[in-house]
Amino acid sequence: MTTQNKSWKTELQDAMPADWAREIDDFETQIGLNKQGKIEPRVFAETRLRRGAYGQRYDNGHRNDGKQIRHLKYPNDGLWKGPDTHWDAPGMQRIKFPWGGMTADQLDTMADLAEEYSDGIGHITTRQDFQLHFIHVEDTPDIMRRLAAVGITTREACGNSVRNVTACPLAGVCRTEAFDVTPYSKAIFKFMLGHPDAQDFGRKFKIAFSGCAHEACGLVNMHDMGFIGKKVTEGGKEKRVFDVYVGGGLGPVPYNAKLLFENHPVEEMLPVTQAVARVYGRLGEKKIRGMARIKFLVAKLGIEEFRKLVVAERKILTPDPRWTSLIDQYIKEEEKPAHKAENLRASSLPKGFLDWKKTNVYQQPQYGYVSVYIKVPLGDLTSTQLRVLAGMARKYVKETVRTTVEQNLLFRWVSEADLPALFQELQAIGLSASGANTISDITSCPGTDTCKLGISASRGLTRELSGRLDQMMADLPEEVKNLKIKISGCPNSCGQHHISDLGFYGVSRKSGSYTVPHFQLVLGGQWKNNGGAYGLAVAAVPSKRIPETVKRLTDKFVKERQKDEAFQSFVARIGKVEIKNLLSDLMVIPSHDAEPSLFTDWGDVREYTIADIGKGECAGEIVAPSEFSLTSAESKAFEAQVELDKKNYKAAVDLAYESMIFSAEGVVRSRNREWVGSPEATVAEFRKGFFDTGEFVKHVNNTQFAAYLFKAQENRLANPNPDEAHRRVEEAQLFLEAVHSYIANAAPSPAALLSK
Amino acid sequence: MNLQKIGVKFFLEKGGELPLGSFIPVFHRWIQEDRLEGMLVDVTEYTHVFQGPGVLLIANEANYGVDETDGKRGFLYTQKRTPEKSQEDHLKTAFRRALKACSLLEKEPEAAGKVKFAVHHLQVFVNDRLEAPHGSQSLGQLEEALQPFLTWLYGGEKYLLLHEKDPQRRTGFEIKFEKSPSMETLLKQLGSN
Repeated sequence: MTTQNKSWKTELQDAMPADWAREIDDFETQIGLNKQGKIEPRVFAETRLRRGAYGQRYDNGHRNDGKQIRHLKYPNDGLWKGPDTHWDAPGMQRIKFPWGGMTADQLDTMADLAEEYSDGIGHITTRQDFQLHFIHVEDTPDIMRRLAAVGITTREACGNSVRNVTACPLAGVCRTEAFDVTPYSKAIFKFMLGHPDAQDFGRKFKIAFSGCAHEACGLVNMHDMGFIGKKVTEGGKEKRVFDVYVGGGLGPVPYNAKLLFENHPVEEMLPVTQAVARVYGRLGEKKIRGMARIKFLVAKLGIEEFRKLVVAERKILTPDPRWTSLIDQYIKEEEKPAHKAENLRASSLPKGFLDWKKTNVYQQPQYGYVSVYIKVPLGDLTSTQLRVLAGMARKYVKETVRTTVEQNLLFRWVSEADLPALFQELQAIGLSASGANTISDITSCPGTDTCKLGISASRGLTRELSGRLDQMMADLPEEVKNLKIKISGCPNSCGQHHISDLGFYGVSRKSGSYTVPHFQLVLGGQWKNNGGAYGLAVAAVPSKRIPETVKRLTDKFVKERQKDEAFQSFVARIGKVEIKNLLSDLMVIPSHDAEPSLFTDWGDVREYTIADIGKGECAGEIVAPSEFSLTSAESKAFEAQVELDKKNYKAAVDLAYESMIFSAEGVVRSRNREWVGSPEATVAEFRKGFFDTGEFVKHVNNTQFAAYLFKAQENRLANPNPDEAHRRVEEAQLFLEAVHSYIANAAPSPAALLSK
Repeated sequence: MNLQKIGVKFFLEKGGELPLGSFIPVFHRWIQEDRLEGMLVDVTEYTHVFQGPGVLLIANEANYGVDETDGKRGFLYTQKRTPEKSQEDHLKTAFRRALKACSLLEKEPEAAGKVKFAVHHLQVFVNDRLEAPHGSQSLGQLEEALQPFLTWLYGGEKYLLLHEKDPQRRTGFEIKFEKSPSMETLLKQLGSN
């Protein structure tokens, strides 16, 4: 403890790859320059984001403490690490684990870092990353060095870059895959990391791999670019190929990925990715962030035109030997089991073992081996758990551990005979819960706990729902057990709510002078088929009533389900009108005095607000004209969904447009309660008075919501296809949510308007 | 000796059965009322986690929390950033802040009469594997620093030091006093009311 000038930089200099060490040194220099005021906060923000150092809630220095908006007096007041982002504010460090692969040493390092710099927890994300929260930016270079020493780079974990490359966690041990996609995902990670053709994107770029089309696997349909492995026979020879997809994505408005190339040779994977990156870098939107993902470019150009551009780009690429050498290199890296294959001996099995085995153990095609899902509540692991898991990885599986997009861990290549002992070791650290990948294994983004964009407490709701469902698990019918629930704290879909049976995303609703946390129920999504279908919002329900919402829906499903009917088909058959009727009483907000608990969020005792706007005095039940407009907008948005379900696409698009006009009218009337005007006049008034002035954007923190309205006004879609109609309906709902936020944040209170 | 980033945990004598969630409103109130030293930022909870950090109050340079590591509930104060003070002050600061929080917590309505901390039973560690890598040298140096401090603080009462044996964990000791002054006396000695 006495050595002077001791540093992780010198301690680990021989353990880090030289180029990674140099990059981290550069980043540390930039931290120093920023502290001296020599780098613009905006530039430093993108610099740190590209190293995975993210902002966190309250880093703007404002926090609602339940009584008032408190100004957080960070020590270096006036020093910034990004626009409106205090230097000393706690931040988040995202740590990429390409294809979800982890070694035991990496688990140990995560344990150490969580203890020393964070809050003792390593958090698994919905894209196979880890995150540490409450990190000081000045600690990040040492964190990066300690990660680099065990083979992890945080480069391009955030920012406008190629993000973590994800892959099916079962790749290589899956019973239905065409082939193991792991070597290819490794090659693309290595090839694209810091690639010059991937440094000028307008937004992030996410890549995923699946070994089969029909399972969820890598969720290719919702990715910017994705690869589904197949085998074809050519000239009597079996050959590996990919179906290559591009332009998918979730976010507020999800897009289905389009097939770019069918049966594409695996040897062409890297050049085609490079060509796509060059087209996206050259033609993708750079100014309007909300329209900058590749999905917008593909939709704008059409897949045929986009394909032509990629083919042309591919032709002029300078050949790179790594196109094939990387694949060759990684194909040689084969996983080997720690123990020989042995069958499970049925005598004296531990209590609870069989239930756990039923849901958490996957039979590999390799005789005598299984993969074990470790169900991690909310994706959170303590340092103690991480260290014990590292030891278990060394002991049982030769370090073949993977994270999953459902925020769990997977131990692969477990000899069946080791299962009881492994189960007991998991029991000792509280990680032997059964029910992996069932209804109680809920996926959630960080939401209001730590995310700057969170509207509702997605983690709080997940904790509550999971707890209740775990207790009921033994009595739940099989068809309910197998449903998926996914929760996001806002419409941005980090919790992947669009592709689950029951999806929820955080919204808020105004009730008198109070704001009430809500979740939008999203139905119709599909997890299988690589996230094959996107659900749509059905009804906004107060957060505290979501458990009852889940109960009513699942009860109805059990009672009225037709033989072998999937939940998605059931929802389509009974229709959203009936579902909304089932929940209508839950949607009514009582007075604050009648049910005060409704006005706080899960796991939070503070009176709920959004954007840290304090509540005013209760002005009674005065209804402003803007609220009537929003009620009409809600109604039209719902009717649009009903028409969409009936495949009446033109009617759905028209109703979505009407909903947007009512929403815009609500904004205009929030300031001018007498406003009456044609749709064109309302849009013009909205643009002039609220958009061009920056007023609307300031309070909803996003330009894209208003852009939905302007786009709908400019292009009414005379003959919409299903995708276009789906998106327009989704956009109407999101514009409506943004208007709700605006009204809650910025609009004068009804009482103030009446007094004018 | 460059002893910094100290962690201090006082174990519970009573109150282990109280739901962890009971401490969430207390910590929010402490932020509202500025009850603790340092800049308080937010409350975060891990009630769903097995033997974890429990409920935390995140401050600018340290975490306060009702911690359940190893199934032993206690109040943990962990420095994450180095305070710019002398060695003795680091220990003094960490003990004062931890004890002050324990004292406040015992008096909160959610805990009054239900929670009592054992000031004679505690844990001290260095939250910095660079400065204090696990091993006999670090343990010796920490013990050397602790000895005069504990003698001063606890008025020369006898104690037992049990060093952390797991080489992967942070350098530290579990400490048990045969007898101990009251929490109020300790706080007074540390210059806190």
